[in-house]
Amino acid sequence: MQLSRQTIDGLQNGDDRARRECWENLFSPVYAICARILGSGVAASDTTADLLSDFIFHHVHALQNPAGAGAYLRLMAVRRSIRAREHRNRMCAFHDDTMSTASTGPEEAAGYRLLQDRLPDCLNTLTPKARSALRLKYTARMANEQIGTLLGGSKQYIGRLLAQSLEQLRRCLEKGAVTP
Amino acid sequence: MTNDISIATVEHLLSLRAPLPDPACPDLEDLAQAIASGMTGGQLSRAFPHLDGCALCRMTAETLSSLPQEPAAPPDVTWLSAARSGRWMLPAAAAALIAGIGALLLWTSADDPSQREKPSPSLRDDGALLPKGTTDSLEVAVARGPARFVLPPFQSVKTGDALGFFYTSATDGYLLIYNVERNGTVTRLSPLSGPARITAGNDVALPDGATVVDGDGDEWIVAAFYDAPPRVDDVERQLRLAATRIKEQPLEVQLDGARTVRVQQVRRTP
Repeated sequence: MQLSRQTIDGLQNGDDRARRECWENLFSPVYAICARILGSGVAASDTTADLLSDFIFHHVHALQNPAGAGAYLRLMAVRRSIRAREHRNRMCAFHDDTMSTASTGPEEAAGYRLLQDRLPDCLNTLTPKARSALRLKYTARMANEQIGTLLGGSKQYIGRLLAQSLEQLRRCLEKGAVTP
Repeated sequence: MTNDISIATVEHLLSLRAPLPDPACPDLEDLAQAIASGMTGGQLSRAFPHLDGCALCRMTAETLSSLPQEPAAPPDVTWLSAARSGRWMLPAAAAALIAGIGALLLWTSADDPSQREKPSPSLRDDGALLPKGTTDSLEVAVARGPARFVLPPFQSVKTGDALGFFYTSATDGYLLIYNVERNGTVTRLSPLSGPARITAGNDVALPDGATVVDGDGDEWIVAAFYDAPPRVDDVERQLRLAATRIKEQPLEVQLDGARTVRVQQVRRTP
């Protein structure tokens, strides 16, 4: 996992080609680290997308040692994966607790929780590219054009990809879910 | 309650999956460099007193130190399609599997060189080790239950075996891998999507893997290395043609423009 000085310079100058190259070259090695800790799937790809978008758009400007960027990303992949794993474990315990008393809670909240529980499985049915696009859109709040810069494709293409993915998720959630 | 879910609801659910805030810890870049340079345990604690009071940093350092120095998964793992139809199936956990097998390969070659014949290494310009005289080769690694091993030629694979692929090449280029069956069926195993481009290296893991499904009989795994981007249609046409010539003898393949073609016969058993 290495970044050339030229790529780092490009990232620091906001060059779209450097951003795309960085995403393309680093997603897999970072994902591989996350998947060792979180297992393959949505959690690992979400953690990877969050880390890389953070790095490409924010941290790279504060990078103290450009030659150590690869080592830093490895460390952050491990760190964020550990945090995500701990959070997941805590949420499981919380859900176990609350689900046992769900009948006493508001119906709406219970419905949402069921949908949330089902969402990772539905996300797993999407392609990794679609998952990354959704992640960048709805958590990093990126514009379609920016997403296209990272993942490849025009903003219209990303728009279509997002719309199709949302529809696929909707159908998947409907299959086995009850809504609020 | 109804069974109608709106797109807005889906969008709302997605927005709830916000990333966790990262606690601000000092010297993370320096810590990363120190671990990358091989510093561990007490040395790290002395150099970074913050570790003593920060469980997350300590756990990160311990986990990172235990990871192989080079991640085994190569660039295109994220663009795997979720599944493939046909007799070969792509496992969702291919990346993790390949990473595991990659570690096994490194361990095996370091501890028991007699198990895997390797030419003597030489140094490439950038300092990476390359086997002297080796042009291109491919190895198939098998995960069968808890067992992990490199598949010797003519050995059997069984239903449920997960396969990973590792290439060694002295030069950059392009690599296509196919499964050819006696009945003429040609299935591409790698790349499933994304570029076929490879860089020079030893035992480099490919992102694509396969799981063996029901079947029996002899089959061939064909790895074709190219200097220039190959025309996939042409390659597959030539392979199908070669497959029609299979009688009792092993598959013989010549592919236009390929600098090296490696063929490994495998036997599939239920």
